[in-house]
Amino acid sequence: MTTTQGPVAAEVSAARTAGAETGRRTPNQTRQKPGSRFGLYLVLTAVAVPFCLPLYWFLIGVFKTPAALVHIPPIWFQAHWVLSNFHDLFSVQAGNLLRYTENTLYISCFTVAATLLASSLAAFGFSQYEFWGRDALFWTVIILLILPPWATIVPQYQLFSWLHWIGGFQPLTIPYLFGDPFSVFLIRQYMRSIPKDYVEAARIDGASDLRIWWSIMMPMVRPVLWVAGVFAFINSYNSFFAPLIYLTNSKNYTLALGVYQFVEEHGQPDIAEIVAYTMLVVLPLIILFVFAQRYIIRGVRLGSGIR
Amino acid sequence: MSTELHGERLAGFTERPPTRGTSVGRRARKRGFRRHDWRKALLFLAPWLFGFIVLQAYPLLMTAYYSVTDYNGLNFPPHFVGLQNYIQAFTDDPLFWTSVRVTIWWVVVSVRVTLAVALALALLLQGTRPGVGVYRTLIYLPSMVPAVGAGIVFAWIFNPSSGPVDQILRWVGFQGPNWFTSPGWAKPGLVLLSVWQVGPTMIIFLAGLQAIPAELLEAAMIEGAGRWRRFRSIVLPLLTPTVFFNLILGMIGSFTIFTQALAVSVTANNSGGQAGAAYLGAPGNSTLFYAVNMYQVMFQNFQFGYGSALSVILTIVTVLATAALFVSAKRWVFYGGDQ
Repeated sequence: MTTTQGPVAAEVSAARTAGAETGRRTPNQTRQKPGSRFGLYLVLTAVAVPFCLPLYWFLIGVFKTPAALVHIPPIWFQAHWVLSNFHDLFSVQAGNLLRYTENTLYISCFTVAATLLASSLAAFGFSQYEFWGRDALFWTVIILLILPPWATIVPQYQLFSWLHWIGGFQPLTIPYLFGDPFSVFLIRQYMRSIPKDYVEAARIDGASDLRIWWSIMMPMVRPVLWVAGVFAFINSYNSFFAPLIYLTNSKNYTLALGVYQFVEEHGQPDIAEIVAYTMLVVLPLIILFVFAQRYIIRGVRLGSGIR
Repeated sequence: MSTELHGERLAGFTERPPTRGTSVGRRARKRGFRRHDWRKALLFLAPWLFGFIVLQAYPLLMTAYYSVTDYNGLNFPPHFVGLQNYIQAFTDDPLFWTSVRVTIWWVVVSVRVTLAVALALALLLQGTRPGVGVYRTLIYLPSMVPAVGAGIVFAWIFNPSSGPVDQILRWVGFQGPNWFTSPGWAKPGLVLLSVWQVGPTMIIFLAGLQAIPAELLEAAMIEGAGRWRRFRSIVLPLLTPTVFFNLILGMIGSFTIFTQALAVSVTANNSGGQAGAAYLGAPGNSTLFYAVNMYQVMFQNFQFGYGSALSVILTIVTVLATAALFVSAKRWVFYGGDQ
């Protein structure tokens, strides 16, 4: 496992200039007969349909009447489109939903801000200084990525319970004030690709190291901060295990935990509300994907720079 | 030479910083750069170091310690019980072995299937032909659905009577299985869920494919190599580092599958009767994955000592399996160049 600056830096610049959608032309496609192109799209469509089917079913299901939802045989395109599922859900859950949305947003935003600040501080330390043991320290960051979170969960739980944090948001937010391994890795790789001359010039002009980090480095690594930030948001929004064990007070549930608890309490008789609830949880991420697709794809690709 | 060195030291006062690329300037800069680096670096690394010690290193050691105690969250300090917890896991806990069997099945099957599908999709979706980007987006989109939501949606569309999947199977003449309510089909259903969310793995394969030099493929074509031959002899060898990376990530992730399993179990099996944790591993412990069992031990029964032993076993297995993959990589992963 060695990390080289080369491929990742190249990856960064390729992603920066070309975006995620480009691919190099390979002979496969330059020499193709026009007729076979139709065949290709036929295959692609056949492959894409099973991937879209669950989303289609989900999308139309939200607007089915409860009777149509469990109708046998299943209804592929209903005649009556209704909003009653959301109405029914809100009539019993409106207060909770609002609260859980608020909680989720608070936790996610705190996590993003904390992750970016703390991780870029650590990344600056790892990329801009030379000292004995630096790389050994850095590799512990990578090993943290590999270790299952279960390896540390009991003592962490105990620590948080000593601090009287169980039930509150702190166990989900405070740890990110110390950085997150994936973001440290991403940002460090990017910072290494920034020419040293900028930092040197600022240092010669008498800027302090903290100042260089904040005023020189941070603006220059903005592209990777977007990537790390979007990922921190998605991970925090999706996180389920930590809320499940720490958020024991139902007032503090997040959306992901809220929908799970709703299913656990109500079960299939309330499938209509469950479907509507699930849509409310899933939709924000679909919208995020529409707007931040570039950063998401880039993050996935940059993450593969660990080789 | 000496004036250059001087210039570097007095750079604050002179107008001309040493130019990049001259060996003298570079050496001098490196030396000047190093002097107080440790202390300055510490300033930046302090928060991360603190978090690492308090939230990772200390808990890791304490997990090992608790694993040889009878800690239950209340009796602090707990009693030392030696290897009792480990002996209990291996000899006296059928659920432990159930969870091990379920998880091994899962690791072996799901990692292979998802990697194969992701690679096939990447091969189909590479290149710049018009419209392919749309298909890439469509196939990636399901990966954005949070695990809980994905579990709920799958439990619902795989409903044997009112779901579309078994309806399609009936159309083509099969009687579909009961999926998430039948012990034999719940895990294959979860494999399909993993395949549905294969987007990130596919993207990493696409990045790997993009890095293969087009000249190589062109040369092979001129030599008369067919599509399969080119894939087998050029694409696949050059792609092995990417396969390796996805294999490591996929394997480590699949050891601790948790959220989807829980969501699917509860949604499919809770028909309104009893609430609570009765659905962990349902139907009939067929989805009692290692992590699900650990969750039950730790946070339903609050057997922290025993749970710690389970997590130590998991950690050791994860590390050993990863190390084994790295050792095997020497034989099959092609890093280019002279090797």
